[in-house]
Amino acid sequence: MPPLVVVAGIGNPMRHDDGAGLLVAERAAELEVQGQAPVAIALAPPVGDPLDLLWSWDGAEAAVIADATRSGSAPGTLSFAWIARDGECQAVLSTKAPTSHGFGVAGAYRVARAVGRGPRQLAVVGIEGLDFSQGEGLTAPVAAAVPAAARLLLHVAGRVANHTSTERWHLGQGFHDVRAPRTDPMEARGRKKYR
Amino acid sequence: MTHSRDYAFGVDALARVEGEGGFRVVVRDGAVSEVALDIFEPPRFFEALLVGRSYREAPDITARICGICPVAYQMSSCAAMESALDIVPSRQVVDLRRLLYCGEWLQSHALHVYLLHAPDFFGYEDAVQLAAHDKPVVERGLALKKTGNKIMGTVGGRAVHPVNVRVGGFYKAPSPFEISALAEPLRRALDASLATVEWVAGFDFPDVTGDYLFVALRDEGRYPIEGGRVVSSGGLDCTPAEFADAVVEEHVARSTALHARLFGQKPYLTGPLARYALNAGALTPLAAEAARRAQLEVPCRNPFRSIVVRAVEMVFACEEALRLVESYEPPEPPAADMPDPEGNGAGATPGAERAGAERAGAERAGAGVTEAPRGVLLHEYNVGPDGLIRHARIVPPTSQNQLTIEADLRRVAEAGLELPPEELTKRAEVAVRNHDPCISCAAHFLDLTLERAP
Repeated sequence: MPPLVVVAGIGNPMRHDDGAGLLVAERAAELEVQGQAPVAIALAPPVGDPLDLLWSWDGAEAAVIADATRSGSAPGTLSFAWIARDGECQAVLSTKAPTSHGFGVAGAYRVARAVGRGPRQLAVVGIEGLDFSQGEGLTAPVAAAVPAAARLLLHVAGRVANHTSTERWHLGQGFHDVRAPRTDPMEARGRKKYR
Repeated sequence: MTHSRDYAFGVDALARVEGEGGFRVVVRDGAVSEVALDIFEPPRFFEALLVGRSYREAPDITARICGICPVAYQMSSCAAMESALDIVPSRQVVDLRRLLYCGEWLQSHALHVYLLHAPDFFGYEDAVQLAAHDKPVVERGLALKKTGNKIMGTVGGRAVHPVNVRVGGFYKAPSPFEISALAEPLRRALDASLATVEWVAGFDFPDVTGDYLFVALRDEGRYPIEGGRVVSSGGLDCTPAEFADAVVEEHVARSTALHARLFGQKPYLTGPLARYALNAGALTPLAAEAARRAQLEVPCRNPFRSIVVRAVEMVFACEEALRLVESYEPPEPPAADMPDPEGNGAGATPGAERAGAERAGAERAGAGVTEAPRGVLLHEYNVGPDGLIRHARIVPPTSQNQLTIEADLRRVAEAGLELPPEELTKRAEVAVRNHDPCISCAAHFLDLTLERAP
């Protein structure tokens, strides 16, 4: 039996498109119930503070995160990146200090590994957002991309579960494999404004 | 290292979301000419969103404002609504709220003490470096945070954005069995928090004294959490409604933030230092003993030593939570009945399904103040006769502390003008972190920019 993959959505539904990750994870869980997932997944409770992922990750070998990105691409653009392979953080991760008030996903993972926790394989599926201001509901292009993002997430979950470090990935048409992106989507979405 | 006499430095609080900034200090002719902290976005959207919604929705909507302290928003919201609608929650409801709030204090303080603040005292970049040097310590911090989350999960329904809180009480009272399961983790957390006080008391603290006007709640001899009168080190002693009138917020041109002043004049500080200064005598026995052993003076005016106060408050939260767990009686009913505003007898609407306000003729106003982990959180509402919210005002601790944090920043910058800008930037960032400001949930201190003025 293939291993269970922990799937977590991150974001704040009161920040318009920032809530996209939560919806993607929920949609993926629905598809799994309908037998459309290549691997068994466990949907983690919605995450506001990424550090709380530590408890959701407990005992998991592989995990996937769905999160909104802000990189300057067209709204609804999907992306994929490794956060960790074989327990090693990937270079795309920020090494900067955490926030004064909480942790990003990268920080949470690095803390988890530092105390011997956290999945060995961790990937993130990004969905490019447009509006991150306070308010409810996704913008139209982002909402339209949620089903495809959920399918991509399940595909990634299957791959992450059966990962070997030399494996080549084939994500299928229309998906960007950004295994060596120039920027971490987590970071890029915030950086735009200040660059 | 040489540097020009004119320069500016700052930290961009890189945000997941729009609306946040960072801090910026401008040095001209060798003197600090401008200090600006722009890290906080007032919850104006939520205030606007609440208008026209039922009073019942306020706790759940406002809980979404902060991912770190949702309980605080729920509790202040309930307190304000209950004041507006003359609802008096039962003692059992108040105790259960206090237990839930202890969980939030514990998880929030554990996060700040261990993972955000402590690395500053070792010169580490972050908690990852701290873990590399002292893994058991970080594990202890994570275990404390987990215990806080467990309380929030048990009482609040879930740890993230608890769903079990309503005006008047709770939707469902946890069973005595569920509550008693918290005792063992809390006993371990009590030991861990006592060890925390001992650990942080041994840190090296810069010798800094802030001239703070402290504002906190005071609650009939108990250390304040979910209610009480608002008091200050300057002699203020008033009800939440009077406090709401006293707090004047002003817009500042350079930022989106609101700056709060008492009666429009005095900047003040709320949060652990203020709570401790005004309520040290009300600490539980082990917390008081831990403060004494840590040689924590009353009042403590060194902002760096706020980490010791937070640790002492973790001991208090564990002790208090244990007491509440051991004496737990499920509230029956889990929420107060809504009173009849026309005086036709209390509890005339069983199950609290209809608000008294629905039949009242006039608009009702109420203010509620509770102690969020980072200080007093004020909610103020007007509710119409139809039970719909007409006006909402939310004043979080960070907007109240903003001017005082800026004053700290200025002090640090002036004392460190001879330092290389990189070193000064680090010190300034720590000065901000001392007060654990809320940066509208999930903003990041990632990019450091150093500009020299042209």
